Amino acid sequence: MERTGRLGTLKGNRLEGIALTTPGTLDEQDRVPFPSKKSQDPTAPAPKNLDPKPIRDRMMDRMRKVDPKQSERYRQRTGE
Amino acid sequence: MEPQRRRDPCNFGTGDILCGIETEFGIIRKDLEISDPVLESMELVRAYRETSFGIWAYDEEDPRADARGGRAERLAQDEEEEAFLQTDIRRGFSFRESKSDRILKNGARFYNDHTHPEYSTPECLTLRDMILFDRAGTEILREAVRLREAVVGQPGVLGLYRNNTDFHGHSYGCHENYLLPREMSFSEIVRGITPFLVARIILTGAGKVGQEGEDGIRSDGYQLSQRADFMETLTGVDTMQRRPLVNSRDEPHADRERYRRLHLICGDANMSEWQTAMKMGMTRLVLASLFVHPGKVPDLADPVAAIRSISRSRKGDVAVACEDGRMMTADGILSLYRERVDVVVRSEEDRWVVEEWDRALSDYRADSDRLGDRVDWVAKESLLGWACQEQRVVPGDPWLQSLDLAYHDIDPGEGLFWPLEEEGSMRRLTRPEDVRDACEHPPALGRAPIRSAILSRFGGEVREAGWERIAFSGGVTFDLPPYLETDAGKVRRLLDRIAGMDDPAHLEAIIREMNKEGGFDGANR
Repeated sequence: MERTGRLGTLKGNRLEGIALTTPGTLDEQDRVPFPSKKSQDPTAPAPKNLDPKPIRDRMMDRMRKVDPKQSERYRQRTGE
Repeated sequence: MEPQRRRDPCNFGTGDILCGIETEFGIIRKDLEISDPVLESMELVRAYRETSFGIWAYDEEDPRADARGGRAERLAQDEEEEAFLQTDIRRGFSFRESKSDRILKNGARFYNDHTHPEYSTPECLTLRDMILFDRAGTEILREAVRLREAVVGQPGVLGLYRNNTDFHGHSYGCHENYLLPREMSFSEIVRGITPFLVARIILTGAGKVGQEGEDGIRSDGYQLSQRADFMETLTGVDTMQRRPLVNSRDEPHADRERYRRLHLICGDANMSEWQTAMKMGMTRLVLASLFVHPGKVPDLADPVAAIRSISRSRKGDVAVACEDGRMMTADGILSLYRERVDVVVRSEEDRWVVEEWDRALSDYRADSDRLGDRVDWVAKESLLGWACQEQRVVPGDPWLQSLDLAYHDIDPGEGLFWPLEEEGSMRRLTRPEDVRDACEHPPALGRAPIRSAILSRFGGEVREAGWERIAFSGGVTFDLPPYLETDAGKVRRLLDRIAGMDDPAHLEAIIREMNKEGGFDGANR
């Protein structure tokens, strides 16, 4: 099967080198371990993963709710 | 004495290295000025009832056995441990009550370890299982929190953090375990892997506001790794003090004539699934390559100083000194290792790891901000940057460390990481439905499903159970070898046989019979 969509060309359960985690058996999952991304052009501008305003606004709303004194109260015993 | 004979390296790969992760979580009652971490940790574990068995075989454990030879008389932490124990006894808790051990249906271990709730994944043979069962741990902890808060009667009062520090000099771990052939000597492993462990933090660091460790505590500044401050020596058997880059505990949880378990305590607890996958995936490839091709790698002049220096430098781009006088950067060291692992790339998972490794190094060199969709220290730094811009916060403001802490909060409604993942700003590798399944069922490969099947069938007759052995009340014991060579079909047939058994004394005979039939030979690897 081969079809082209928004993300690229779908060949079988692979999207041009992007391994899809499609529903299926464990064996199928083992053949396509994780989603991946195409190589980026090193000269291209850095992706602005955190730049879009909606996520920034959402994160600022959440960050403003964090108690500034929380880290001072946060005391743990040494672990391991 | 180290065995001399090396098995055929041509067939050795990452699929031969059983692995697992133990994560200690920070815990706090948000409604109390002072929390009792022992009580909260105990009660949290006890609240979780989806358990297959609850008596851990502590006889299997020997944290003083030293891979460098002999056995330590005392560990640096013994004094502190004994003080904890005495305090707990005075409060009416026995050792076992304090530990509150749970062996979960999915093969994981969940217990109170040194006042921290700890989730240890079941032993995994594939990277996919590793990530899936690690993520299942987060879901299990969330469910335990929900159950505990229901008992307390106050939703939202418990805070659970997947991090490694309280910012006041106390650290707790996220330990990696790799089961290796015994013929790999410990000294060879230490020498071969140390530069890699130092350098990998540019891709595996969780990020931290401030500085701790023996050279003082500061609340300003930002560094790549949460654990680098706490590394004090190259190798050693201690884990709570004088922490080593490579822990020498010789506790294989398997036949010690054939296996050694590399127990790494230097890694950060990551929120990013990609980082956990790469941390384990790259390390397994490096270990496999060291077995196959134990060639020379550049020795660092001072690995402990180097990991701190890289962690505390801007973007981790400082050069560190090698013994031969060369100066190398972390990405340069990782590139050398990346070339070396080509000889052991065999599976689809291996190829995924090396492709991601190449891409990540390329992105790091172009602009480390490119890693913001995969790497905690980059994503966290971006969030802190926004906070500083919008709220005009100055360095050292305690709010920044509170934001750092909040990034690691496992509560999906409170933690700063989760919206990033939900919106696709951070990559997620697992599917929620697979994680739900991994909360209830063990991996299909390795010994974890066999242990789970035995506990499910004979739980009432089991006296105690651990990673490598199950002891039944009647005196019968059953050893659990790692079962490295089995496939899912063979394991399934064994599980069916176990489900139909009447007497656990017949377990050994069934394994022998399946060995003769050629249907189940994993125990012989």
